Amino acid sequence: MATTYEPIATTTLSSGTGTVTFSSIPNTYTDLVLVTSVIGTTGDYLRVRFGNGSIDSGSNYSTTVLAASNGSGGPASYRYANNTVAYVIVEGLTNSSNPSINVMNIFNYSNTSTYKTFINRSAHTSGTVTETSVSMWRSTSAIDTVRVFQDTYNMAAGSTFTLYGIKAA
Amino acid sequence: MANTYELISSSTIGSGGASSIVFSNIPQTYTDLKVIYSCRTDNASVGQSMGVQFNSTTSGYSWRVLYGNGSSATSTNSTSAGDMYIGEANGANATSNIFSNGEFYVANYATSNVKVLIAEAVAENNGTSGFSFFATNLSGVTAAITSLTIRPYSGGQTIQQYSTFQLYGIKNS
Repeated sequence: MATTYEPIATTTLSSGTGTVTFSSIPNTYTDLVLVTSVIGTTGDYLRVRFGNGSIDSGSNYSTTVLAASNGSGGPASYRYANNTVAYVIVEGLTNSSNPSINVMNIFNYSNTSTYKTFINRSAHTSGTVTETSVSMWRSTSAIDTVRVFQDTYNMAAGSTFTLYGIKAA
Repeated sequence: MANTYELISSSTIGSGGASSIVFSNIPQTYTDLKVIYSCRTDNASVGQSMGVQFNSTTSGYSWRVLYGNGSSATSTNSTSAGDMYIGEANGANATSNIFSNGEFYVANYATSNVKVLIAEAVAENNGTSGFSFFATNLSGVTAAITSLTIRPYSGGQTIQQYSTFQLYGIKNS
């Protein structure tokens, strides 16, 4: 029986690292799922970029976030357009000891006719912040490279990153 | 090749209902856990908050939920709870035969890290009302998770017959 949901690659950091990159992603799946458990630096933010052959750092990303935190009180929505990054966690990694979890679904990643959209769900270690977002990479190129990083600081040892492929048939 | 996404256990509530669902003796051979469920309770309301406990731990949970009802979005939280919050199920006053749907995800459940749970749920009442929930949960549990208890939040109500719960294990290699 063909495998529907398959791990493509996984990384666990043994020391502080600025970026984690998955490259040479095969184009044989339908969708991708990126699961990260990141021990960050208090106040820093988690970002992602995509590429085909090389990472796109141009102003080709947009993110719309729905979030709520103990600090801000009520729910809030933010939109970031024409950015050089897509926002994975917006409200800040609030704990430098315990991981924040993020599950990202990237749809039709190898389609060369459409822009790439992805949905993100984040859980902060504090239990005080909840975020969900939808983002777009404005490129019709197939995604064969994914890079995860923080704005300023390294991601700490013990952080894990796993990329899965999902086949529709 | 080993299965990446594998059903560990499935439970369908029988006649008479149940006060909780417990997945116990969870194998430690996966990376993450995911539960998908369809649920209704006997709570005398349209909805019923649902909760989860790790390893029978009954305190020390924090959560924040973001939910909408089609007219407005609201957020609320708890910093010292007996359950994690995973959304609402339909209650006894909802239209018959309607069950809510939801899922929650726990990454690295077998490690010694603090455990974080992401939950999503939707509950609809035959066009008269609808809710969607997204919740973040933090537990003080650092031990590997060997059991999950799913129940009406704070207990007391009954999960109705035909409710279903599936526990999946996900391997990263």
